Amino acid sequence: MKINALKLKKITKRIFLIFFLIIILFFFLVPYFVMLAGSIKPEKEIQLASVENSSKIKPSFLPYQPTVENYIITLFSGSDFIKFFYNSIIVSSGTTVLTLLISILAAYGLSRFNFKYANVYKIGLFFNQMIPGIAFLLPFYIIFYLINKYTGIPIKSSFIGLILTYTVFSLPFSILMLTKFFNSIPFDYDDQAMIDGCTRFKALFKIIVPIAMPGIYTIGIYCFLISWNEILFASMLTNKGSRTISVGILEIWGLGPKLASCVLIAIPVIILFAYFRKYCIAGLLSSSSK
Amino acid sequence: MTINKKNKTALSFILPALTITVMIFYFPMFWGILVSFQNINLNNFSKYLQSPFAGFGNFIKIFKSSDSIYFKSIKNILFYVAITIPIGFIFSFFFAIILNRNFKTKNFFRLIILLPYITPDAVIYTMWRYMFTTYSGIVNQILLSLEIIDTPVLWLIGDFQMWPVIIASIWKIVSFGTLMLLTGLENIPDYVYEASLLDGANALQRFKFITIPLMKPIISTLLLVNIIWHFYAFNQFYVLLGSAGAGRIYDNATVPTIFIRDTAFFQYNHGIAAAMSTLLLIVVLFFTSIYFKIQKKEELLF
Repeated sequence: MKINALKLKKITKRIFLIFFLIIILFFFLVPYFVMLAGSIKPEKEIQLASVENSSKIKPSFLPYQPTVENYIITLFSGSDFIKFFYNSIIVSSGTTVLTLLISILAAYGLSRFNFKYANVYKIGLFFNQMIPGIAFLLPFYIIFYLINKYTGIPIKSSFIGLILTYTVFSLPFSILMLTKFFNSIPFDYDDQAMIDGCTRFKALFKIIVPIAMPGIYTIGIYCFLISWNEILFASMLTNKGSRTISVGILEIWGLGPKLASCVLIAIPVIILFAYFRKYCIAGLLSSSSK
Repeated sequence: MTINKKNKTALSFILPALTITVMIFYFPMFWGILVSFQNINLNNFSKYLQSPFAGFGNFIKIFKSSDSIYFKSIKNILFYVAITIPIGFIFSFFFAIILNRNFKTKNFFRLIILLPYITPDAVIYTMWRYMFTTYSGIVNQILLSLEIIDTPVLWLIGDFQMWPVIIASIWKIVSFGTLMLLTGLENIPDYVYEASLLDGANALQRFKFITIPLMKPIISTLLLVNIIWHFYAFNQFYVLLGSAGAGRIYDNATVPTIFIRDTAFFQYNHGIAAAMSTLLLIVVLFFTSIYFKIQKKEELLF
C-alpha cells in the first residue's frame, strides 16, 4: 500500500510538472505563432477580417488560404526591406568590430595594471550603463546638426554617427565583462610570452585573446544585438536612406508584408542565439537594453 | 610624484576607450544639461551657437504649467512600472521554480524562455500590436467568443491604451526574469535543501527560510534593474501605440521618453525637452546609486 501511495504521489507530481510546462510553452509561443500565421495570410484576409460584421471572415489563428505572397512582396518587389536589412548589417557589424577592438584594449589595461583611479573608472562605467538614452538624444542631434553645418559631413545619412553612438553605449558593459574574463586568465601567460620576446600588444592578441574567445563571443553578440534592436536613436538620427531595420520595419506598408519582415528579421537573431547559446546566457544576465 | 612607467602603459591601453567615452558620452551629457538652461526653439535652432541662456527658465516653465503633460507622463510611467514589474516578477519566479525541476527537455525550454528577450523589440511589439487590433485582432475575437465583452474593445486608442503595453511588456520581462531567477535557483547547492529536509522543514518553510534569503541579491538586482530600465521605457510605447509626432493627443499612455522626444522634435521646444530629460536623469541617477550600493554590499560588482 505504502509503495503505491508513493508511486501515486510521484505520478501526480509528474503530471503537474507537464501541465505547467505546457502552460509555459503556450505563454511564450502563442504570440510567435500568431505572427507566423499572420505572415502567411493574404493581405485581404488580414485587413478585412472583422470580429463584428458577420458577413466578413473572423480573425483566426490559422490562415484560411495560406500564401507566400507577403514574403515575395517583402523580398523581391522593390520593398525597402532589403535596404534596411543591409543598413542594419553594416551598422551592427561596424559597432561590433569597433567595440571589440576598444574594449579588448581597455579591459586588458584594467585587468593587468593596478593603476591609480582604476576603481573610479570602473564605477564610472557602471553608471554609464544605467544612464537613459533619452538624455543623449537631443545633444547628439545638435552635434550632428552642427557638424553637418560647419564641415559638411553628412553624419545623418552615413552610418558613422549611429555606429559611434552604439559603440559608446555598448562599451561599459563590454569592458566590465571582458575585464572579468581577463582576470580569470593567469598573469603568468603574458609574462611568459614577454620573456620569449613578445611585446605587450603581441602578447595580448596572440596569447590572451584566443584564450578569452568565449568572453569575446559574448560581447560580440551583445553589441550586435544592441545595435540591431535599438529604436530611439535610429528613429531620429537616420534618414530614409540610412534607416536600420528595427525602425524601417515600422514604415513598411501593409500588415502582411510587415509581419513577413518581422519573421525574416527575427530568424537570424534566433539562429545566432541558438548557435552561440552557451556564450550568451552569461552576457544576457548583465546586459542592458538601452 | 611622476607617473611611473606602469601607469603609462596602462593608460595607453585605456586611452581609446577613455577618449571615445569622454567625447561621445560625457561631453554630450553635459551639453544636454547645458541645453536645458538655454532658450532654444524652432526660431533660433539654426543659430544655435548664439542662442540665449534662460537660467532656470525652462525648469520653471515645466513646474508652473498647470496642465503639465510632463508630470502626467511621469504618473503614467509610475503606474506602468508599478503593475508591470511585480506581475512580471511573480510570473518569472513561478516559471523559474517549475523549470528548476529535473526533466529531459530542459535545454529546449531554456531556449524557449530566451526567445522574447532576444527577439528585436520592433518585432515583438509589432506582433502584439497585430494581436490587439480592434476589428481584425485575435484578442478581441477570443474575448468576444468567450462572451467576456460584447462589443470589440479599442485597445490601441483611448482609455485602455496602457493595457496592451503592460501585457506585452510583462510577456517580455518574464523572459529575462525567468532566466535570471532560474540561474540563481540552480546555484543554490543541493546540500542546503537536504540538510533542511533532515531537520524536518516542509516545502513552505524551505521556500521561506532557504530559497528567499539565498536569492535575495538576485531578486533585488532584478527588480532594481527592471525599474531603472522601465522608467525610461520607449520601444514598447513607440511601436505599440505609435508616435504621431505633432498631432499626437497626450493621454493616459504618454510616457516621459515619448513626450520628451515629441517636445524636442515635433514641437521644437528643444530647451524645455532638455530640461525634462535632465530631470529624468536625476531620478535615474538616484535609483542607480541605490542599485550600486546593493551591488557593492553583495559584492556582485567587478
